[in-house]
Amino acid sequence: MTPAAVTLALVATLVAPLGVGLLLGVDRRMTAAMQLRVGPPLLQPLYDLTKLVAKRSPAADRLSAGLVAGQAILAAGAFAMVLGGGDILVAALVLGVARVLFILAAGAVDSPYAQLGVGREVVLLVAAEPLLIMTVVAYGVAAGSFASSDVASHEGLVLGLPTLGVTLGVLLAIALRKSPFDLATSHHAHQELVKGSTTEMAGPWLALAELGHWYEAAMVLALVALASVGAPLIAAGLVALSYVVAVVLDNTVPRATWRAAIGIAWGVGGTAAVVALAMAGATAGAV
Amino acid sequence: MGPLRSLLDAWVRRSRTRSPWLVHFDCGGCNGCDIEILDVLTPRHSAERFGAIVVGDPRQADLLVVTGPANRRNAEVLRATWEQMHEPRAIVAVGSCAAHGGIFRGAPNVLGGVGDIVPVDLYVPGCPPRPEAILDAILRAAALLAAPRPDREPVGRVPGEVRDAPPAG
Amino acid sequence: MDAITLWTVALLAIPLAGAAATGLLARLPSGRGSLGAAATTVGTTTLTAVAVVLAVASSGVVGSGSEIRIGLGPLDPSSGPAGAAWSVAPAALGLVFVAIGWRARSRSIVLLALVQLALGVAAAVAELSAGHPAGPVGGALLLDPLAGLLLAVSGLVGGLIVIYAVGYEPVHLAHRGLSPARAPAFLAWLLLFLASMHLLVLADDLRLLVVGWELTTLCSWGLIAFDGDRPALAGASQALRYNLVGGIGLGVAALAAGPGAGLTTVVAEAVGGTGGAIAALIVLGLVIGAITKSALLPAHPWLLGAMVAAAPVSALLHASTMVKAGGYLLLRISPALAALEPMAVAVAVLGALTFAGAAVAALREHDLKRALALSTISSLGLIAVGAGIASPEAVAAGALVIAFHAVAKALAFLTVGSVEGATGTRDVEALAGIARRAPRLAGAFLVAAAAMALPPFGLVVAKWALLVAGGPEPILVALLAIGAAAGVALWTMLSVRLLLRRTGPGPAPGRISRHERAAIATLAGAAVLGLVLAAPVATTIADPVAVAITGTDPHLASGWSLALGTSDFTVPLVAALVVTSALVVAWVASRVHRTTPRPYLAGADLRAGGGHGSASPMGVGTAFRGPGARIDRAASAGFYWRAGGAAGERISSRALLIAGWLGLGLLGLAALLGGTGVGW
Repeated sequence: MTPAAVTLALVATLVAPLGVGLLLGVDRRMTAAMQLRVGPPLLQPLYDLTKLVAKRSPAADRLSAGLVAGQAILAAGAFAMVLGGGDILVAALVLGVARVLFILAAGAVDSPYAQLGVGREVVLLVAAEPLLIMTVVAYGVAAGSFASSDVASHEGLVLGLPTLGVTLGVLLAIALRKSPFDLATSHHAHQELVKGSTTEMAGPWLALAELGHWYEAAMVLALVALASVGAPLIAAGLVALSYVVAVVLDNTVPRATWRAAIGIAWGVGGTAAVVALAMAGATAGAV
Repeated sequence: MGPLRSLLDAWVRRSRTRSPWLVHFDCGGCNGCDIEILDVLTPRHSAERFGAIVVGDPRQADLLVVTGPANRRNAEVLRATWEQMHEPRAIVAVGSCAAHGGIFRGAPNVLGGVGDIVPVDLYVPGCPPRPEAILDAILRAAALLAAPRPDREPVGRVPGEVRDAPPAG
Repeated sequence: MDAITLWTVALLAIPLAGAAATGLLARLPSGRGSLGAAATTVGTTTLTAVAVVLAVASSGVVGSGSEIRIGLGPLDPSSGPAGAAWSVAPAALGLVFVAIGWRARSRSIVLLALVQLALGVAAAVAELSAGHPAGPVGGALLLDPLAGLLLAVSGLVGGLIVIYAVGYEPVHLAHRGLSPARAPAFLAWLLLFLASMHLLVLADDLRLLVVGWELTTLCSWGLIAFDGDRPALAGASQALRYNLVGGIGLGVAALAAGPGAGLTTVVAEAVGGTGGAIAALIVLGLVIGAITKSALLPAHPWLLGAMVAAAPVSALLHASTMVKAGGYLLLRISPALAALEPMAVAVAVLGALTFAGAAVAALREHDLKRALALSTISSLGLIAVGAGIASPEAVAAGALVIAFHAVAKALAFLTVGSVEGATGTRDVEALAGIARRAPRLAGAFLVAAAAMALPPFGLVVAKWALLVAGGPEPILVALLAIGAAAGVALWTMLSVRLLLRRTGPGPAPGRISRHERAAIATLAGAAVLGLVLAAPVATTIADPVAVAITGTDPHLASGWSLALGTSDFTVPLVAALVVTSALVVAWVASRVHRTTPRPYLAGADLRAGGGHGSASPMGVGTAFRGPGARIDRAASAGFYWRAGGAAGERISSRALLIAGWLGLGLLGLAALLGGTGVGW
């Protein structure tokens, strides 16, 4: 990593939440359109985040407050590592640490809703983490290196490994907490867990938690971008397809169990990832 | 820093007024008003156009939307819910019961309107009010969220007094 | 006698002498030897640690791939009578096992021990009929980086655990209603174990290896059965049964290799392709021994049963050292596995199955020690994966797992032991909120959890290296990914339960002895130091192991660029990131006002002195109480893994066994294919 690359990565990391916020705005408009509603303004996620930051909410717990700040920094760091040409496998592991800190932050408060949310958050962790690791290893095997700069210069990754599009779609659905991956903290009111793992977070602390999730989504999007160098249209098509499937599922499957979450993640995303790994191994062996 | 500062302030005020998250509390009316509030959220009136969504957790809410009369059992819970919200925050009392007890006024368990327990900002009259009126009140209340108002006087009886009141009859 | 030989013999002789002395003190009536035994034990472990440090330092194996052969002088098996004596020794131990089986009325143990006895006799006869077979040239002991690593683990980490036991055991015996006067006997067993472990890891000559191996089996039985109650005896018998099977595997290997053969010659023959089917048989025997010792699937039940033993036993034998012997042996013979290629694949797959299966199974566990045991099994599987992949990077990663896991898991077990001693329980639910009642113990446990699951601690670096090395094998990567995720989930869940700010009803922790405190504090310090010094540790310990075994230096830590191209900067970056976020956590936590947690309870306001008449805001916890005010399992974050109740647990343990037997079948097939020279 050169200093220029590091600077660029840092700047991009600071700007990334704006991009993710806009994407989430589009997401909410699209969901609203499917339900024949107008939906909120495109900037709504950014309004929400700003409002939360500006709100005068005390932290429910000191440790929880510290941990939730730590997880946002780690998630941003993982994203910056990918952008800066760093090791994507290590970035994936660091993102895992960010998730762990978030779970600890949610669990540090003695609230029944948050505690049940924590249990479900762990389920999500088990569902998502293997997919992320397998995707990244597939990248590394196909490109012969785990440095994201090398992966980016390896053109047409998604052409060689089309099934990775499915895995990335599942990962994106998890990062954006689409049903059934919204089981730990729902965006809809009147569900059984109130706000699940974020129940005890309010104001700026909730904003930090959201920011961590946004960076998680940004990291998945960065992985998508890495795969699509050389074939942006096909990659965009694959991701858009899996994303539309995720939104349709989100709208048509009102509630799904945690078993469905693991089943879809491992069954669909995992199988696709194993196929991609096998193909990556075969092509790398042929070269 | 002057212009930047004012720009930031403007952005924060805009964000605060355009992101009113509601917590809906039914004190125990006839449920007519609650059905009308649900109507506000449906695609027909679509409160989410204005960034209004319902959250289950008062800590994360900006607007408290109350229906029904305050009574001995739930006055304390209403007060606790209000106290768990953080500035900037506002209260909308929906319907006649929330205003003054409505048709339940004088019942042995009823204390009166919710204004006796928490500092209500806007009353929406009607039995039940039209959804348009409720949506209008939510938007007016959202405008109150532009800045914190921490110096408001607490009103009404504290929950302890309510709890300690001798049972009627 | 030169310095290395002196110190090497010393690190065998000192614990043996200490064990004898402590054993004699234990014979004194009415516990008069207790004080003397404690002092002897502390002195012996200190001297042993010094001997280990001096032996390893003077041999020059640190930081280089060199190896040194050491003779045992008149006791060396290359001299005729001594050789015969070493050959007969396993048969003698077999007799002891027969006696144990007879007393335990276990037909299977007697049968297995008789087979072992027969193997020992056959080996002795073979040796006598062969005349005067020479041992390996230059001595029967081999001190190389891998042996040095294992010595450091058992001498330093093991020594700390024994010192912990000095403070722990009398209290533990009193809790169990046994006489504290039995503590010296316990310490004698531990010291005897240290001596046998040192013999095991130093032995190159198979005769010595088998003796060390069987001695550790004996110590394991004695220590598990020490409390003498029914579960202890059952657990000990089960452990003995499994380990006897492994011992038979090892005995068959030794018999097939013939007298005078060493591990190095066995590996050389397999690699040179001169061994033929016999080489495959020898390697298969060694692998079977390793599987049972390391409790890989399907041999894992014995390690779970062994959790009835006291905390130091679990920490020393069943986490840090003895179970590592299997992984050690696999790493040692990994070139032979690679030469008989199908076997390497089978071992890697079996290891990966163990890694993933045990980690997922651990998510269901409620008993802290059982959860830790399953996590141990999982880590042992990781070592087997390293040995199976057999590339220099993978072998170095396996060595890293041995080093870091020993520290982290010993710390975890000792902490749980002290918590159990102080509170009388090791149920995860009952311990919720221990952070407030015993902040230091909880802190030590959290350090162990971080060292097990979070980068850039050594274990995660090892996982990372194995993922990279295992890259082309999709199934291997999938299993590694699932196991890694489940491991992180397990340690997260345990941390949440212990961090949880609940002060519900529950006993306040009692006093913790200074021996226990010293051991826990030192291990926690070592774990934190491992975070800072992960790169030097890898250069000085893991790389030389790979050099000694595969002949190639993987440079695992050279800028942490393991075939990673331009990512030289990564690990320092991760460390900087983690340190930054830790500082932010501390800073924010110190800036935020200390508030009384007032959780959202659907409008109920649990302020002190107010609310629903509960005595205090802490009076309501999140534990859901079932019938009889029992804390219900639903409160656990593990609720989601436990659906189906007891039936679900049976199904999952059956799934583990089935996976293990499939892996074992694969191994047999692989041995057949490798032995006949057919590839896949």
